[in-house]
Amino acid sequence: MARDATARLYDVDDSSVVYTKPGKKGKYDHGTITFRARKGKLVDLDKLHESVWATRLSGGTSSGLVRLDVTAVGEVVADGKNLVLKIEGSKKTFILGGAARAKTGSQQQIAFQKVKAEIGNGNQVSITGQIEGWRGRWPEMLSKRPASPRRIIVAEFSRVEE
Amino acid sequence: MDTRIWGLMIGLSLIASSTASGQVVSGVMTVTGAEMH
Repeated sequence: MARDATARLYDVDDSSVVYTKPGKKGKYDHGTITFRARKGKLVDLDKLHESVWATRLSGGTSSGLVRLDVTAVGEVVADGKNLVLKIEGSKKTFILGGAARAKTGSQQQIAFQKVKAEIGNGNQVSITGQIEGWRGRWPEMLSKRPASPRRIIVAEFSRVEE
Repeated sequence: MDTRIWGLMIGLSLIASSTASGQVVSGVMTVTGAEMH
């Protein structure tokens, strides 16, 4: 009912925001909120930060953000020592990094190798991974200004078919 | 559902509906404190 109300109020595709909780495990359970930009649009992480801040989440509990994983599409380029994802249709970028503890031959390690092989190829690629450093208890983690550009720890990679 | 999580969902709904330019196609936030007993 609540999700339907939001959809009416904000003209939201109510399938674009989904909350799931994989069962009770304790007082503070983990849950996931999956979101997706509407067709032709992209989710702005700065606005996401502002939006979560605007909920005025209070402290004094163990409630917080465990991690944020995103999928972004763009072109891989080198900028000095950095590997950068230039977002299609935007001036925004991400710095791409490999997982520090990825084992040789792991999916993460292979994905990052493939990303490096795309430097300067001009291909549109889809990168999925965790946003580095955006975690912690409310509201402290929200008071920190996010790094700019943000860094994605690459977990999955694929080429976008034309 | 805990009101904190409901607040997040509202925020995310707004973002999903109104952002004309951004960076990401989709995402998954993992949060804790989802259920207060």
